[in-house]
Amino acid sequence: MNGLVRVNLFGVCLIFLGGLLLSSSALARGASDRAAAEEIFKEANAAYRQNQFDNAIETYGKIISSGFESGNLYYNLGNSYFKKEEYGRALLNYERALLFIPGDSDLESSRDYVLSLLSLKPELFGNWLERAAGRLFAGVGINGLMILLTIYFAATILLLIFGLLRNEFKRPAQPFLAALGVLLIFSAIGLKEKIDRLERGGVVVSKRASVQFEPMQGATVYFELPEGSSVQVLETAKDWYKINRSDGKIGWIRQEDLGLIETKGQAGVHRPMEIRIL
Amino acid sequence: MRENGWCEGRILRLKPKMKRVVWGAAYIFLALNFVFCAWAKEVDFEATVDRNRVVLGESLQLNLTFNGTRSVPAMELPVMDGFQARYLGPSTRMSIVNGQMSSSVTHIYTFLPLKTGTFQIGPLHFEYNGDTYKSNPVSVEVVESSEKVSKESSDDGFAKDAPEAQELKERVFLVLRPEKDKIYLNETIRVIVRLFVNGLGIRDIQFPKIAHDGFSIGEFEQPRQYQQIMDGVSYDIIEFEVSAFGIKPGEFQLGPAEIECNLIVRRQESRRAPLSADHFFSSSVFDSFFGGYETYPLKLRSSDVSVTILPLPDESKPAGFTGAMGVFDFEASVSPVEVNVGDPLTLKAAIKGEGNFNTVNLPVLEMGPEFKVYEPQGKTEKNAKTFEQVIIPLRQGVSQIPALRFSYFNTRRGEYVTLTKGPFPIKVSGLNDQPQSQVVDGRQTLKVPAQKEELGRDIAYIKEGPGTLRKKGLWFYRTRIFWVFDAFALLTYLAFLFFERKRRRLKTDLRYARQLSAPRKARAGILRARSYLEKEKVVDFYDTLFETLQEYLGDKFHLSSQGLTISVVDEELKSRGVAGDVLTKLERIFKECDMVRYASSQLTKEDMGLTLRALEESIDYLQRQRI
Repeated sequence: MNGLVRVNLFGVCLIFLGGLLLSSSALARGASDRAAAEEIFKEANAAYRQNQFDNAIETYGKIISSGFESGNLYYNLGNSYFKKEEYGRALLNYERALLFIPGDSDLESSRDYVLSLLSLKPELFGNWLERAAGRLFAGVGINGLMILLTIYFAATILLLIFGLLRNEFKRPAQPFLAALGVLLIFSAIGLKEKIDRLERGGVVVSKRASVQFEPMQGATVYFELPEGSSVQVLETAKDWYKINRSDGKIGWIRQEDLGLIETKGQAGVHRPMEIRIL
Repeated sequence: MRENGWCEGRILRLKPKMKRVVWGAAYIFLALNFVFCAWAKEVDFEATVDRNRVVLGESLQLNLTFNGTRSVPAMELPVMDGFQARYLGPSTRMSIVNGQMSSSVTHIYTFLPLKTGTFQIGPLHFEYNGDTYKSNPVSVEVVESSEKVSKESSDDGFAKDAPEAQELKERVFLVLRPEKDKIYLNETIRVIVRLFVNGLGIRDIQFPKIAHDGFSIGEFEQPRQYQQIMDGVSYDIIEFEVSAFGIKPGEFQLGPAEIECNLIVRRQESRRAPLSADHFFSSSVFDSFFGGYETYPLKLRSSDVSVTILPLPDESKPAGFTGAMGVFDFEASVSPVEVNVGDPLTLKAAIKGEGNFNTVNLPVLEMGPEFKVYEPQGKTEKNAKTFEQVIIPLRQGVSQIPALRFSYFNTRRGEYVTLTKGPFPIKVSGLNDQPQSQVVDGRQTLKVPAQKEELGRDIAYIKEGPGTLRKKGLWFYRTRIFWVFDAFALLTYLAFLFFERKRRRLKTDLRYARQLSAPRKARAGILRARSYLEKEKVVDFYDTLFETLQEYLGDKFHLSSQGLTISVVDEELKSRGVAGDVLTKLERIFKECDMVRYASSQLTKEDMGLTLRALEESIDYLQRQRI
């Protein structure tokens, strides 16, 4: 029986490791597409150096349209918009870059500089627990946090199994289990906070945006948001977003005034506007 | 018109009383049904319009009515030359006149004519549920507007030799015009897109989109609106202006430009008696008060324009030329002019004029090691770009900041121009000019006035490489593999928990362990007994049978297997409510075993088989009953 248990344990450990390796290797595909994207990136950088910022933005956007993204790409896009003095779009792309390379010092300093130009501070959303977890894992990206969560979970399971099979492990394992449990909870909350920022985060890209009580022309303005303000999108209606400010105020903003952190298509450039005659 | 002759009927449900009454009633029902069908109205398909004469730019209403039914859905109209159709909705009607019920459904479409002329709509064919319906044709005449204007020509290059408008596209159209059709690489030009509208209502006009391969296009400015008369026709014009510059040499097509907008069409008024109650309360009164309009989406497209982008000439290109294109003035100054070593002074430069300010950079200063120079801070305004650069002299005696040379390509004259400002005289006082403290103990102390260091601030430079490129939207939490892995880990733990608990119970709970092992041991014993049965080894057979039964009953009921007798078993099983026939079987098995073991017997193979079966059935019963 003991021998059988040992074999089972060994097999379980192998499966854990194999699962982790498989997960990380599954993402390393499409090498040739990446090579083409890297060439386009160099082209865009060349345009940036020649101060052709519109061209640079368009070229960086081609990489995103081809289905690739990275923290450096969004960072350079942010810089390009900054050079065009479109600070809202610059901040929007810096926020996107933060999800990939959160600990990058260039990114942090550029973002802080743009925020200081706009007299804004970094915003955090959610309850106090989510804000605390957000600050704790500020230097970890979404994927990094997901790996951490899986490691904590796997370690907890392994400790529990060892505790089942060896009574002598139970007592000394308890403080580790408690610590792992706390880490698991905090990293899960931190992951939720980051996912919320990715899927529901937005940045005001127009110079000044009015937030109304209702999603219709002529409704009463509740408050105004300056360029670069961070919000959370709660709902989408035709041409409007229902947003939540960091202090909890909720209202409706025109879709053209807000850039969403998660891009569905090309990093936007055009801003159509409606004009009526008659 | 229905072609297959069938019609709708009703199913009657009769109470079944007597067979003859039932059949008789059925015959009467069928006869009535046929009579009803003969009198039933046939379904017909009718097409009507609210008016047969309409002005270009106004809409008319087409009604497709199916009389005799309310269940026919709306049909998709075929593409009709000269009209644009849109479905508004159905209207159903049911009426009872002289005891006869009739119903109908009308599908209403609104038609927008696109050109003048006389047209025939239909006949329309529609298939539904195996039936084909055919409508009557309808004739419609579309005439032009009766607006009269005086003739006047235009000389800005937008004049068209347009005939009097007969089609909608003659009354609303888009024109794209760049400022020049031959430009230099990176030269900025104005591109104008004009929307012409004659006698129509247009709203919700979007900014134009221009195809611009080979060019870089900026953001459109706020449009301006004005009126202009061309060839006797008055147009409302909305003019969009944007700047563009060529990004590679060659011949390219700029455009076409496309604009999306909505055409406003007046909804027609219904005709009612002016003094009737219907007129007061009809929607048409309120419509004419509030504006009975509806909108049609329009997408307009201009033609494209050929533009040649010329490369810059290489001859006489100045050494400091960095790509600036346009017509510029250059101003520069330095302040303060008197500083101490280590104090900052600011070089301010302004480049004003017309051109591509993306290509304008501050000329690089040729400074020696006696200066520390920071990156210049640039700011772009309308038709100007200003720079500020902090320079710190590092030693005394420096007398000037070298001259600044700004080179650009003058797009008007087609030649390179270099503008020079400076050199800028300055006076730098050194540390020697400061009073020194007295030596007291041999150590020299210098009093250096506190210097406030002014640090520049800007964004960091771009990244040279793209970093780790990954597929868009591919986040780990969205892949199944992590969640499957976590679920598998949890299931593994639960499996371990289950098996560990079972193992512990087996170890600590003897009764449970015996009960669990009882059927397995009984099966093994029965197999051994069967093999003895095949070999007709009577004694071995009954010995095995006895041991198997004794061990099974002992394990099952947690009794001592050794010395277990039928009387003990009987008492135990009766108290658990075992069926009498099972008890009888068990007693018989015990007696047979005793008889063979302790006395000779004449039992045959058949008897042994019956006994073995009795044992199997008894064990099977005890297992199933969970006793």
